[in-house]
Amino acid sequence: MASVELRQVTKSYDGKATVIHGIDLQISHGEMAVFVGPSGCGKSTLLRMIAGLEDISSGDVLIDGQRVNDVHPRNRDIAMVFQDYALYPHKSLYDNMAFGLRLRKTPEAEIRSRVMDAARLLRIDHMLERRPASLSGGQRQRVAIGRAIVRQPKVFLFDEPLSNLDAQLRAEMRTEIKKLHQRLGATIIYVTHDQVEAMTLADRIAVLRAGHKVQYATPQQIYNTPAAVFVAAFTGSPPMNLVPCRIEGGQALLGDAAVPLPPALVHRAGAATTHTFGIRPEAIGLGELPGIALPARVVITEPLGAETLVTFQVGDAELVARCNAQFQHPPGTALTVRLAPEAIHLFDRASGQAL
Amino acid sequence: MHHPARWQKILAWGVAGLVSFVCLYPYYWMLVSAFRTSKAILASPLRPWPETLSLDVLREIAMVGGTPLWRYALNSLVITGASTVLGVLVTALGAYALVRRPHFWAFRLLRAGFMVTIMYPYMLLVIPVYIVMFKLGLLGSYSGIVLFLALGPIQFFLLEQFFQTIPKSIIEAAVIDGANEAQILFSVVMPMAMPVVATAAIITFLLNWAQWLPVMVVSRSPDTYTLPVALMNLNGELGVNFQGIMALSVLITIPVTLFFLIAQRRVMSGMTAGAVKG
Amino acid sequence: MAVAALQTPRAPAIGVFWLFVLPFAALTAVFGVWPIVLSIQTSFTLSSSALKPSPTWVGFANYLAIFADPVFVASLWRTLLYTFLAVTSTIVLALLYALLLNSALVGRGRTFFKLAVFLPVVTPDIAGYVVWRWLFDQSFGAINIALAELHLPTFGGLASTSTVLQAVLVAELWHHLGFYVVIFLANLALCDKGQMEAADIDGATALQKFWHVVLPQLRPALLVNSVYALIQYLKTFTVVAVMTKGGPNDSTNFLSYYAYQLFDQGRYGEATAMATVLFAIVIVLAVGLMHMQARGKLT
Repeated sequence: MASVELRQVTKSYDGKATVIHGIDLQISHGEMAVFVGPSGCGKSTLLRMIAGLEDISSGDVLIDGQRVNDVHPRNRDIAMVFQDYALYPHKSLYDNMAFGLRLRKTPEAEIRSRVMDAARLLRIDHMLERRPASLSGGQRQRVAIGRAIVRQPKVFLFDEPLSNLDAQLRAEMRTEIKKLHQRLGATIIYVTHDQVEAMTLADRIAVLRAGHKVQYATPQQIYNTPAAVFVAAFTGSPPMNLVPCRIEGGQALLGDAAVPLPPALVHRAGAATTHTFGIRPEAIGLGELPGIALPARVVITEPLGAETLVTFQVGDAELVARCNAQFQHPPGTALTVRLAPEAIHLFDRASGQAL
Repeated sequence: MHHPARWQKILAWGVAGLVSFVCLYPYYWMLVSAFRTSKAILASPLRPWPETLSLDVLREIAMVGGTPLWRYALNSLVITGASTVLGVLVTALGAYALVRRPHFWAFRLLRAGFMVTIMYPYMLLVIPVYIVMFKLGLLGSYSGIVLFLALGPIQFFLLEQFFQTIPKSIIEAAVIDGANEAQILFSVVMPMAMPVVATAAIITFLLNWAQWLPVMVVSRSPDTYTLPVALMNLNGELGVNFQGIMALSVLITIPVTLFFLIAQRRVMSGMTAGAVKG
Repeated sequence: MAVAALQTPRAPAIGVFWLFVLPFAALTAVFGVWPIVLSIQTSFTLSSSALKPSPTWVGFANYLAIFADPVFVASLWRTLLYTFLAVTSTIVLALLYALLLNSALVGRGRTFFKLAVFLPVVTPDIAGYVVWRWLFDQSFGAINIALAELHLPTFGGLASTSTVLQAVLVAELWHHLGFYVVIFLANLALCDKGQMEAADIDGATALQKFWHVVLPQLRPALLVNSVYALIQYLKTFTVVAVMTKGGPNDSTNFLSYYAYQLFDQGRYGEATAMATVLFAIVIVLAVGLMHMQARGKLT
């Protein structure tokens, strides 16, 4: 297992359009790093640059401390799992997994043991003579993973491997991949646009946007201390409430509702008077919970069974709150809501950066 | 659901039936006439069944223009076979390379050159090709004819289109697995391409079998003529032997017809692949 | 991001691809491009010297000569006219027949009808044309005999200058139609069924459905195939060589055939000049049509 380091990695086409802007990243030995972001943010491109399938315009990619910019993919000791599985259609599953090893002149006995081990791990050992066409999507993906495992690479690269699967299968495979990671202790770089996959699988998440790294931190850090509005909006379901506010006299004003702010936050807010106010739905509560009390009016309620999402009108903002399933108050009811002060985020209006 | 009226169905079948009749009648007439003497053909051309079913006519056409019939048949087989094998291999390799590196300037140029060649009136290409063969000293040789017949637009488009449908990720997976380009081609791509290559081969064979002008022009003597050329000569001879002409036509047509009927779906979809816009 | 569409492959090393492409490039160059260049070159030389190591240059003399030749000029017009007729009738008839075969009216017979109309495409055209020649024969041809039996006026066929073009067209349609029918069938199969159903619900008649739903989707295919047919028919040669030898009275003496005759007579310079003219016409028409489509002027 190896570490992967990116130093000011940049990619531009024909010297004109830049898709990756000087990204720095350090992925530790045995860590599962997830690159996440919307379509076009460059996460796949970055992964492919690490694999060697895309050129690096400037900057360095190091695997295990060695600069690999000019090293051919086959010599980087990496294995990749593709979104469309990329299995060789005319080879049996066994041959699909054995192909890479055979090319490296690995002895057949060794190949056999590695393939059978991986197949057993992925529960496909009973169908190794079959061809990919006769398999389901989930099975094919497991073969693709098996192909990567037998190579025993320094780094595993996963390029949106679950995107082509249906929702239920995706959830199952997610768990399997997590177990695999624990079992193998491998260094994995995983690309996805799905924030649930990112949160559940990652040791650390790299949130990318338009070719820039916005934040690289553990899932908890990403969730609790997002570095930017973009990150805050990306995680959580329902996402964080983000509304414009005015800062006056140490308070955040949402219309006529005043939210007292901790002095440190006020200090960082600086001279600007308008910002983005953020608070997660689960940090808003009712009744006797401690927190900043504010008058509110119920707008809509969305019962989910285990809980109910309630949209409140607080000042001039609509905030979504997670309430328990017993919430009965109809729209229009006036209530007092409580905001947990430690869960209040402020973001710069212009840059989106957290304050 | 739209249920068509009975009369509409009858009309449709009638029209299609008529068209099919017009398409197939010439073959029928050809076959029947091959068994009838020229006199009989002239006397009652519409007769649907031959008077006798003897194969005597084969003796009559055993020699055409001084060369035995079996020689023409052999030439047809050899020339068509060789140009098919050569053509499909060369085109497959070429199309693959062009599809894998489409932006390379030299490849773009090559493809453009090929397109231009297709647009040139094929029959008239034999005029300069005659000169080229002359300069290369290939006139009258089998190789010359085979080389000229090797390339064709349909095979190229068919193969090019197929290679374009191979997902890039499979190639990339092979690259990461450690395969070099030759290994990718032979271990991964070619097995996938087998059905299409077979289709291209069948189509090339069908088309090349019918070639006559290039064969005639490049040949120096009837020794290298193929069956269609024999037919042209027989057709042009004075003292026309209708039965002979028809018999020879049947001989030229039957192998190819059988071939087509066996592989018809493949042939039809393959031949039109390049022109179907999806 | 628009940039994502600019993907170019990783610094492509050409490496072994040179090797793969070499035979193809060699054949194309030696038996495709070189002959064309040679042909154009020869058109500027004196016919009797064309095969010599250093031919005599005569500039545009050959071109002037052929345009001064009434047979050539007539042939040129005739070729263009015939091509126009052939292409339009082929495309229109093929489309109509494809629509018929595609409809529910024909159902299970579809495979047979497809095979029947495609068979003439794959069988050697020579054999077919030989038969057609006899079918059209004035006294002994099956067509006229049949017409006489039905008490209908006989068809002038290949003997009369007023009917020979039609006869030749019939024979060529017999040979080529199936190709386009199958192409259009394939394109029709790709048509968006959802749109058809929506049109049905909107109450469209069959004609309206064709005009507003099917035709727009077929436009690219119609164009590509028209160009293909254009290139094919401008080359009309074999049918003339077998059935009419250019006659009667040069009425089917198309450019390809006339040029070949000159070649046969050793008049290489003029033959290649004619070939070059024909080639230029093909290029101009084909490229012109494609260009107009790309610019959206046709669709």
